[in-house]
Amino acid sequence: MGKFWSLLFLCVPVLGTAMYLAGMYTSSGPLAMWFPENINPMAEEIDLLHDIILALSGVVFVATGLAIFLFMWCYECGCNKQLAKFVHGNHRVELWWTIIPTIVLVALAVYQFKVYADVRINRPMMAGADGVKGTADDVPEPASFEVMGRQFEWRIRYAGEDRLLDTPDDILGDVNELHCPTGTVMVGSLKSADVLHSFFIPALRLKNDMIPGTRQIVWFQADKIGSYEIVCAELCGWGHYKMKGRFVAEPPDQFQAYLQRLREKQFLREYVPAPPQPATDQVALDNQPTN
Amino acid sequence: MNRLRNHSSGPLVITTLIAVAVSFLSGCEVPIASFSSNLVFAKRLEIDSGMKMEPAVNETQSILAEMFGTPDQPTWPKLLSEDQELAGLVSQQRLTRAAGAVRSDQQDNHFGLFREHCVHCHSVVGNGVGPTSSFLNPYPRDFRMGIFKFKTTPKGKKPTREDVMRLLTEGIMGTSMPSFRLLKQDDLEALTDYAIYLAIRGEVERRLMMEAASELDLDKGERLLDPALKESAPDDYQDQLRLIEETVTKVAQSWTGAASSVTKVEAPPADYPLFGRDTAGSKEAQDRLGASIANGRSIFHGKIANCASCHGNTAMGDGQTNDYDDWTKDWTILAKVDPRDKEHIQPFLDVGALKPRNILPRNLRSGIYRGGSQPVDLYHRIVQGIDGTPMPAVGLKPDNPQGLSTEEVWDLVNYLLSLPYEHITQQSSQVPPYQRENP
Ligand code: HEC
Ligand SMILES: [Cu+2]
Repeated sequence: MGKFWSLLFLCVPVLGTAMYLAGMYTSSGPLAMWFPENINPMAEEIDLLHDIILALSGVVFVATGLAIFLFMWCYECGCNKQLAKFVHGNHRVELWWTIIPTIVLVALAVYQFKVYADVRINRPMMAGADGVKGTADDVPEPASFEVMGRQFEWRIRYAGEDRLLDTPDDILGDVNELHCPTGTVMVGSLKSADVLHSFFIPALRLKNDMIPGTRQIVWFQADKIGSYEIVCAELCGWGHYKMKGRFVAEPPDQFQAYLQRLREKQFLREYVPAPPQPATDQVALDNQPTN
Repeated sequence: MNRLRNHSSGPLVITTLIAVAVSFLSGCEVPIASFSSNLVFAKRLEIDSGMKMEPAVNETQSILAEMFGTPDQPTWPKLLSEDQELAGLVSQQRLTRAAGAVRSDQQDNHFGLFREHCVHCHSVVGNGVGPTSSFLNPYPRDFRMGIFKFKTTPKGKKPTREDVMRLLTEGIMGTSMPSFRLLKQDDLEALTDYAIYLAIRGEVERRLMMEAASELDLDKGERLLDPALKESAPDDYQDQLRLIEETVTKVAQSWTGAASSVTKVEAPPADYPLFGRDTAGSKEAQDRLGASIANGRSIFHGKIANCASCHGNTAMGDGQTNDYDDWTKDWTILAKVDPRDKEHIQPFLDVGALKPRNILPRNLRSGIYRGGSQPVDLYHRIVQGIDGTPMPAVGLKPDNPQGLSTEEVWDLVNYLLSLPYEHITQQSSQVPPYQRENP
């Protein structure tokens, strides 16, 4: 029993590292837990930033885990007959373990400024009154779709021909299903009907809280045709787990055709017996290209 | 130091392991699921008839168990599956798929769907009193009255299968009922069957209890189906049995009849103005739309439709706000119980009724429609009314010479669709919120 606790603590860095490696390098099964492929060119730096932070904290995690193990192993009272010695600090060591993390953290902070600004502050702009993009009178690109989080579903709306939301020509989308054209910068507006939700499309590296009473603006570009998962990333109530949606990236002409179908549905003035629903099992929630 | 040296970590390790094991093994005892009786309705009958309803409640429960099975093994009554016309209403296979404990197989097919997705609101028996119900507004639906609000059939008729399915796929905006659109088609079909099954079971339960309260002398020990008669008076026994079977068949027939009673809506000419579609159209289209909306507005406030009496002059739902829906009236007004009288309603709350709430006419400026926002949905709401609520059906010409023409209904639809975009009148926006009657 003497070395039990030290071995138990050794499991932390060993199993932790093993789980990360398994998550990164297995492609299926319960251990495959890495990010889905990123399809958003505007978010590539998020992945890079994530990898750098993971590598740095990984080194610290393993080093501290091993240090704890070593101390427990060597100084276990059952076998270590030496009496304890009390040390009153070491200035030089303390200096280094303050300076090095400070440098690392400040470097990270400076590096992430730009990434943060790109995904949160530098909203895509479009030409203003002079019709030329890149001049001083550029105006923010208006949101072309709206997602409203609601206990426990996503309600979707697209701007109509006037390119503005909240006008009579808005197009009502299908519940829990957001479509967008590939290769196009999309600006969206998020809001909540009740409590905090967080709109998360892992494949786009897009995650943003929905705050009751405010509008959040997000933007992205989807470059790969397919059907991806939307999830709620903020525990929002007893049905939080139900808030799963589908994000479909499709070629622009198919997207226009989809909007046209929605429009026809929205303006229906005739009773038509419900058309047979497409079996949703066929469009599984993975990266299978849809057609 | 000595204390530390002598200390052995053995006991500590063992205690930890035991604690972990105990916490894994305990709390696993799940009570067997059972259908609870409609005690709220029994209480009302008790007040009506002056008899103790308990024997009838118990007997009804065992008759139902015989025919409809249990939450773990629901059965579609044999007499219905043997009837050609009624057999297709609910499939036993789908019932089994939707019922029982939550489980799934290697291919990720889910079973026990009702308990996975619905039960925390609608409860095992479908009475709308699940663990989360009292936190929700409006309350989840009690299926057992067999009344459904949003459907394509006239008031008083059952919904079609597609109507129920649509509620599951689209969810009900403005309520806590979410969309289950991303479930597999088979799952949705199974859940639809199960909801219909619970509705039929619940309605049969009500009718049998009603029958017992009105026809039998329960205090003298009379029964709906008396096994003693089997020997002594087989004819009487057969009569009793037939009566029960007829009740079940009648309820089931009301469901199969729904498909043929669908309100057929024929579209107006394609160039008939439509809000949204024509809002930014040609000058002429806009003028026609403007005239249509104006006509809709005057119908809304007019004598025939009189929508404003409930929905208010501002259409914000602030007209008549002190009424109740049929689910509440069932055990309050109909039992001569004042829903506002705390002491009076307490016995009902004790047996599971939820605190009564007023039914509020919809705020028609919010653009949120529970039954769908397509023009055809609004048309259905107007000409059918909304079952289980005070919202009446508007009569249609020529059947009802006093009613509206279909064009006038489409004008009303245009007016409704325009409301969320219309500026509220100067007058009411100048009244500060704290001075309004219904802020
Ligand atoms: C007797 C009162 C009453 C009258 C009269 C009335 N309504 Fe309603 N209406 C209601 C109530 C109550 C509801 C809410 C029902 C519910 O809880 O779903 C409602 C709901 C609605 C809805 C919402 C439907 C949905 O899908 O959410 C619409 C639209 C509507 N009414 C339109 C009208 C129009 C148009 C008229 C006139 C032709 C009218 N109402 C007359 C009481 C009334
Ligand atoms: Cu949520």
